[in-house]
Amino acid sequence: MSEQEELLKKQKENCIFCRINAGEMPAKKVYEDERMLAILDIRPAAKGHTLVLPREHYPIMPLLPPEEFTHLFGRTAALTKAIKEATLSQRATVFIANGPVAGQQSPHFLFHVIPREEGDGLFTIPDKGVNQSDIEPLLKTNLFSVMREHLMKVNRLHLLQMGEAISDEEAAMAERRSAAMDAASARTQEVPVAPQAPPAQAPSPQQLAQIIEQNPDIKQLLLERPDELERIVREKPEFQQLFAGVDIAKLSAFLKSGGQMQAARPEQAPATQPPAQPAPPTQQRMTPRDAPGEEASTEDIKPAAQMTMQELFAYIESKPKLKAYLLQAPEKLKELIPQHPRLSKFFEGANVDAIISAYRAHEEGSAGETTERTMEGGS
Amino acid sequence: MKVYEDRIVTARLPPGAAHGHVLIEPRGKEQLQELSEEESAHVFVVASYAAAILFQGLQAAGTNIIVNERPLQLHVIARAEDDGLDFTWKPKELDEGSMSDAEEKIKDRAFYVGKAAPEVPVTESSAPEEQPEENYLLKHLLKNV
Repeated sequence: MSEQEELLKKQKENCIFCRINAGEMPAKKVYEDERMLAILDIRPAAKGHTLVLPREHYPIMPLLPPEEFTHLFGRTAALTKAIKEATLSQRATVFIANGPVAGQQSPHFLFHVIPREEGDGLFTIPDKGVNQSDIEPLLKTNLFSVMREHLMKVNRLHLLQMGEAISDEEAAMAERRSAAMDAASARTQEVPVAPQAPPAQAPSPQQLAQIIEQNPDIKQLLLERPDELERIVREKPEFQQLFAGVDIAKLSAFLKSGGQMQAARPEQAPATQPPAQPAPPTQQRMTPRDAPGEEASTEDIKPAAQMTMQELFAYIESKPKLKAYLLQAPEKLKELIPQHPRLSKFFEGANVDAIISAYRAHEEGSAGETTERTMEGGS
Repeated sequence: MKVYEDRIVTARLPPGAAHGHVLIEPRGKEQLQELSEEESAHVFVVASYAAAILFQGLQAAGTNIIVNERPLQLHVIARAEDDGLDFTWKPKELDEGSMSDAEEKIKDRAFYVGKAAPEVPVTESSAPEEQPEENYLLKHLLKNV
């Protein structure tokens, strides 16, 4: 048993709320269920003053596991209503103290629900007019990113589509910040190539398929309201990233016709057809022999679709010509793919547009390497 | 100064009661009971994260989350020794009869917490209590026409 566990065990043994929970100490219980208890405070600020606590002993609020947190605070609204009705109060205050300085007295996390009366003088929050502009960035950056992560985990990311209330610039700014942070952390992980590292930017078709499967809201939109989804994608940067280069109408039709997501290949169809337009003059410089796939052998080519983002980026880094095409002439590249066995094999089953936009975003994020240099490498 | 918002809440830095005071306001809500179970959990998630950010980012000694109603506001306040804030109370002397009375009455009304019936699910409406009565009456009237 670790030192921490031992400490917690000792704390529990001496905890009156654990003893109340175990029925070893009396208390006026007003509500209980499988996870929580509500009892009257014996030193009440008002009649009906109730303590609400999880049955399990957690020393502080951040240690509550998500399912306990959701249960406890999910029921707080209805419990507060019951307390107000019972005491004929118009208002109640929920009071939570984290740390002794803030008034936390029990090592068993709990909070207070206190019925309020006009003029009871409780919990007056003074308006001291403290200027807080210096901590605006701290809150803005961190609150957005933790909430985004949280909403992603609980599958409610749609709550972040704020519509009219937040300006698009503000949303885009927040998104850029978070994307920059993702990219920065991805870069630090990159040094020893870690194949399982998460994608920094646009997902591969497989990842997109997975994301869609995990988000019934998105899937439903895709199936039933592709036009609405297109609108959202146009307006929200995080969705733009997710659906980079994807033809939503096509994908929707494909899914509706019973297509499997991991085979999200309708976008790929053009690549299997010869380019309709005559090759523009610049292509003269890049004749088929110059192109990345000069040898006919495709033995050594691993398809991009089977690579992780990290592997893919590393591979592109090692192929200056491919890199130049990706960054400078993606349309040409798409025309070249069906003409070259090696390129065809490399892009087989992959969403070319997603790879292009992902790699471009990756490049923009990485410092020190200018596009001029990559062009030199390619010619 | 808005620092966060989603479809359920907005959060801003008001002219503070302390350096480290976040005000979270559920959109268009006056009282906690107007929130669904999911929404109720959500507003406290935002408050809890705001508290954690103040705690870590400002090296606060502690934090308070104080939820007041009419209008519904969640104050998250960073605390320090001798910061001049006082959210303590002087305990009321309530006799056993008064405590038991409160216990019985709350218990009766809390019986339905977490159970579907017979509460009318809280909707967007700010006056959920009146709704069923009216609808029932209306139905009744229509029936008799």
